[in-house]
Amino acid sequence: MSESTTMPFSGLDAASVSRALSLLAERPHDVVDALFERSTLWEIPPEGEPPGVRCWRESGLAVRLLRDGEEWSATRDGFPREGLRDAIRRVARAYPRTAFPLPDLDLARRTETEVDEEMLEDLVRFPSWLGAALRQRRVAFPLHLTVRRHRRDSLVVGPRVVAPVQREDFASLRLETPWHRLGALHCGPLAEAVSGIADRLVAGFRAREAPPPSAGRCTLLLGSHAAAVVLHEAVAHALEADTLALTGTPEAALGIELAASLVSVVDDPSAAPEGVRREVDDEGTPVVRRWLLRDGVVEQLLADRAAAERFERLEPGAGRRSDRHQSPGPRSTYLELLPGEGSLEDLVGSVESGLFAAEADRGQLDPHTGVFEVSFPFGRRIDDGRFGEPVGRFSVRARVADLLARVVAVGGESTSAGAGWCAKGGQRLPVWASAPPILIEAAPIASASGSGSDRRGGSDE
Amino acid sequence: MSELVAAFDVLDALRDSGLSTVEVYCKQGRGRSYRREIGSHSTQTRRELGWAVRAGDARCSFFSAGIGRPTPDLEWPTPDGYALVLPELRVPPTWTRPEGLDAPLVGEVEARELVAGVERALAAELSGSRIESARLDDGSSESLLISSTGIEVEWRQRLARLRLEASWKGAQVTLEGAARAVGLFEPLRLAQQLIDRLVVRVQGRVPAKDRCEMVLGPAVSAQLLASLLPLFVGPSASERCRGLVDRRGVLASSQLTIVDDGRLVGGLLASPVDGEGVPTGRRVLLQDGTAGPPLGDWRDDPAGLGLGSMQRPGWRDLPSVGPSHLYIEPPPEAPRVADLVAAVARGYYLVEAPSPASVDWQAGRFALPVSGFSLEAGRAVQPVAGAYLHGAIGAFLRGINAIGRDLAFLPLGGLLGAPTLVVGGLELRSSG
Repeated sequence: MSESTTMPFSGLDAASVSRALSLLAERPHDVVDALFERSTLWEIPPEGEPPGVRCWRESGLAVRLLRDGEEWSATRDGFPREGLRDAIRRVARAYPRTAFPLPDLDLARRTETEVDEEMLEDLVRFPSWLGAALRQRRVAFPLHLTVRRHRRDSLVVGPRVVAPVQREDFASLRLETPWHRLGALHCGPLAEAVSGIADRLVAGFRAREAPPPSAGRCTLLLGSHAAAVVLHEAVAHALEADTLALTGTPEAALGIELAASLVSVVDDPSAAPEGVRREVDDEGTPVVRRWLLRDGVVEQLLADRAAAERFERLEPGAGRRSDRHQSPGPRSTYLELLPGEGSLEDLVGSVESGLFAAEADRGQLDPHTGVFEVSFPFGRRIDDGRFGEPVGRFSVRARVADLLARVVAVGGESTSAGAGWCAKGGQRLPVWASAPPILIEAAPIASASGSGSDRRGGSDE
Repeated sequence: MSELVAAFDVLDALRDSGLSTVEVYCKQGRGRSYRREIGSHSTQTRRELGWAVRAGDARCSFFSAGIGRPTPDLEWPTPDGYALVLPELRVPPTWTRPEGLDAPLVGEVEARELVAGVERALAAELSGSRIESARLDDGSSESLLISSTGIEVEWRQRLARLRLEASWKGAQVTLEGAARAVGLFEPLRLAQQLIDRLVVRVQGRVPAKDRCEMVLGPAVSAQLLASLLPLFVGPSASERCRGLVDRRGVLASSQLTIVDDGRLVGGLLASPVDGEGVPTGRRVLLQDGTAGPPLGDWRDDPAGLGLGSMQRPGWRDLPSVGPSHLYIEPPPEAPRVADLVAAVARGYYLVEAPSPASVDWQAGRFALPVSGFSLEAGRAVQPVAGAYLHGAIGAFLRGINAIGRDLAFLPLGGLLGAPTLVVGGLELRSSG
């Protein structure tokens, strides 16, 4: 196997594609684009599940026309010569009259076979590295481990602009023990992730038989991972334009005080870890540093081009799609909770009696009621400013504004945390975050329901 | 099919490279989707063509999949890991191709009209109600599979799926259905089903804790069956069943027969072979209350390689054990539903289960969200909503007193089917 040096979309005559797409845009506010993508997924399955090494390679295109809230799209697998012409004709509302022929595709065919030996070695060796790290921590338990590497190149061409090619390249892990399911995403060499993953597994192992805490209100300290998941549910999903449009006009949310004044949250795909950093979104729109909450007040919403066409005050650039077969929708990419002051130890020390949750493995927001639920697989008690006994699975269920208003402290040490898979509307997307720990007063604790449509960092990969 | 030539080229090339066990699977499909939400419509056409290859020997193996047609000059992954064992050739029994496979896919106008028709009927009956979202997926596919063990088989499938969400007075309900073609969905009937559910949801009350006879409509029975699939599918199924037998050694009511049939006549997923090219057929998983062999991987029980039960939804998926048409079979002289309901002195007629049951396998209990009506002297007297049906799994299986004739299938990860059941020993509560 060798590494190809071919550019992902070399041979694509983008100018011809742009010219052809312009035929579809008959009205001033028509949105027209073509997405070209190539993706590769490598998987090392859990022990005992043949076949041994698995590889999926895909490529294809999607042409889309968006007009007055209606969308027409056509997708084709691969890049057949006539694929673009055919897709354009299927999307066109009137048969395109053109003085020039619609373009054939002539894309270099073999780039999707690109294989990075080092990357593959990294995947294959990860299970043994993790095994060694667990032995070093003097624990042993049954572990079902799936390791994957995801690579996706995408190019969006519009009638007037050709966006730069975007590449996503990251690994995902799915780890299942008899008592705990853990998921993780990682950019860069997997060797860097071994120690952190081993620590998280050990924490779950030690809490495996701990009873859940009793329901009621108590002070809740969320570690970086758990804080990032809570913010993803309570801030990112709650401020997506399509979610807000289900119950009214999204713009009405602008200016609302949604959280305590020490909570500031930004979505900035251009600041995401190397490997998943973006210049443009999946609609070819340049991304922006988007202040979702500034000092607790809603300043901007997550919007795609469809939302921005409908609502004047929304800015596009947060449109994401998992692949060509899905329509873009507004989603977060890299969420940052801006740090406050103090270390985790300082925050623990300030708690007389409460709970600490390092991990959250599931979350769900009900867009109609604004109630969200996040489930924590295990935690620890905090008594007199010190960590105490472990506790079993519990959850927090609350209205977004009610819970975020109860944030009384934000830690000063922000770490990359809470990366996971986010599922909404049938699309599963990797999301990334960095957050410091946060302290919430009188958080409503409930026994976990064990269900949730949005399974971050947990069960699926 | 020109894929056949390409597939044999790949198979030969991989065998020449020293891999003794090779399987090549190709699938092409086309589909149309229509989606409507408040303020937006979208229409999509798709054409897909993909392949998957599993290859290896007694020591190592790989899986590779991609789009287009496979070619022998592709760069294959280095085989690693585990031995690959493929099924031997078994000649499928005569297969009669289902009708309707050639029906054209739904057009945009037809899709819009179907949803608009449901909405008109809904609004006419229930003022203020509306369709919140609609999703219609219509697709057809052709599959080809060859292997080094001599399997060479082609088959086709055709399926339309519809999902509707409607609301009225703050309540929201979902209706899902599947048919061979979109033209078979009946707007008036769909609207009536939505109306029934909305009215029950809005006017229904949460009952006090109550234990009496329960009449479970097909939607409720099928949802419960789907939640209890681990009793009939997979390597631990037999052990789970053993743990549920009572002191007399009885697992289930003598009236209960559960079947999985990959070539069910009229079944929407019917095909001559499973995802590994093994002939499909009728498998009895539980008969007259006694559990038979569960659906499983034949590799764990080579003697069980009689009927295929490996599902392969698409070329991206590896074959895995799963149901095709798994259903509770009505007895030959099953009564009408009206007669079953009329015979209940006091109980509940539960017609909707909006989400799956939560099952505690350790305690052997389940809780299923339900809505329906309370019954007195065989007549519906009060709508019930927001309730949960609670019970022990064993009590449910043994408590089935009567089975209706109205078998209906729901798309619940495979097609799960059930008729109306009359069950004793269960309890209705206000919380899960």
